[in-house]
Amino acid sequence: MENKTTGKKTVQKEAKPNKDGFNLFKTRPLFLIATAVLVFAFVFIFLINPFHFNIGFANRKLEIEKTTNLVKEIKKIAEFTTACFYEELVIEDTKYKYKERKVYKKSDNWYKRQLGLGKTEVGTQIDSTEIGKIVLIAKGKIRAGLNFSKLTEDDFKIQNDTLYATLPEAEIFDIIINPSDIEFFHRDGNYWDEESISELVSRGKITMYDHAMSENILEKANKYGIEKMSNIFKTFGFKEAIITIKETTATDNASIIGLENKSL
Amino acid sequence: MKKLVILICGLALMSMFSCKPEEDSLNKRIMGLETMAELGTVEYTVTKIIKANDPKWYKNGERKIIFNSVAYIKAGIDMQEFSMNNVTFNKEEKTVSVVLPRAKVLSFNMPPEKIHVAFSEISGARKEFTIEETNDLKIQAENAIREDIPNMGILQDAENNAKGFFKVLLTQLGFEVITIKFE
Repeated sequence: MENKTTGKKTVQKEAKPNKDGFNLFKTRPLFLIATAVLVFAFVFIFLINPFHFNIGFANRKLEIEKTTNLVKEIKKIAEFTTACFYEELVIEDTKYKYKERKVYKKSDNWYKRQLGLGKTEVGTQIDSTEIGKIVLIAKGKIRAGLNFSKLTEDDFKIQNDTLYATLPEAEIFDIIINPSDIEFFHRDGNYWDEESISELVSRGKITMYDHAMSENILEKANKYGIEKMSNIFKTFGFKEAIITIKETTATDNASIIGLENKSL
Repeated sequence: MKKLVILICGLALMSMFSCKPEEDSLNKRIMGLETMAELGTVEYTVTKIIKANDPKWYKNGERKIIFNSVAYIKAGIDMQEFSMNNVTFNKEEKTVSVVLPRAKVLSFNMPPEKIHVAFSEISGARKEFTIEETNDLKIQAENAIREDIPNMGILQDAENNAKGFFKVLLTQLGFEVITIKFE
């Protein structure tokens, strides 16, 4: 290149373009920035993983260690389950933040208002703001039937080809919601711990129990129990089986659900 | 005009992704009652320690947790298909032969309210276990117990107890020679 005023040739230092016209010297800072961005993205996504993306080793599933399953008790039972109630429940819980606010009344006196004494405190009001919510979906079942361990010798009488049997009244055997039956559908906030989740599940069990009772689970268990046992007795050669239900004292439902000493 | 079209499209998209259908589906409850005829003859109470350690080489600190859990497993005989074909008897000789179906697990109950944290340690820059993570650990423990059921001998106990129950019942009904088999 020639300088017009001095006529001297100036030599400008230029980077050599490669075969494809790619200028490595000019693009070097760009390379460094791109590398830094890539490294940062890798650390952010794979190692920090703030949004809990299900990628790579960063979100590897937490696994339990192998431990022994210890059989603690073996109990002989004679439970004739004749009715089962199934339900898919939605269990919700909301956490609120409470704030106390003073309530004032404007004074009727114009002069007092001018002096800034225009309002008098008449009480307090509590305002609530929603700060967290959890929604669980739980699939549960309730098993009910006749407890044959309550049968005695006196409960059977045979006259010719007719059997007279008195069976115990139907009762609830189990209310079941297993961990695999629980789905965490929605959670907003970290206000729930192990204990509060257990209490929510227990609340779900109580609701399910109420629904099962309103569906007359015990009456249906009694009715089908009589029908089924009558058929079974007939297979043993009885022409007729007359079955009545023995009324027993009501079982403590709280103990069935496993909510002893729990206030909900 | 163009802006109006964009606005309408935007509103239509927003209504598609609004939470209304989700709320509707939540309000629908599914329930049902069915009859059955299952004779439960044995109940096993199984305890398990749920242990999880979550070290990560690229994170500072550890997370450890231990739960105590208990599961109730009931096994017995499904009497739904029991019929005349399963029984042969002679009233004069007071003999009866009964063929019962093989025992099976009737119920599995691992109450969440009976699973308690026995130990928990969070160190360094690690976060607490979330309730979703701990529930996942409980599900793994539940599956581990379920997988171990065939090795517990519960089905054999259920059949022995069923045999004992029917022997007592058939004695009450006047039979003296009682044979019970499982098929």
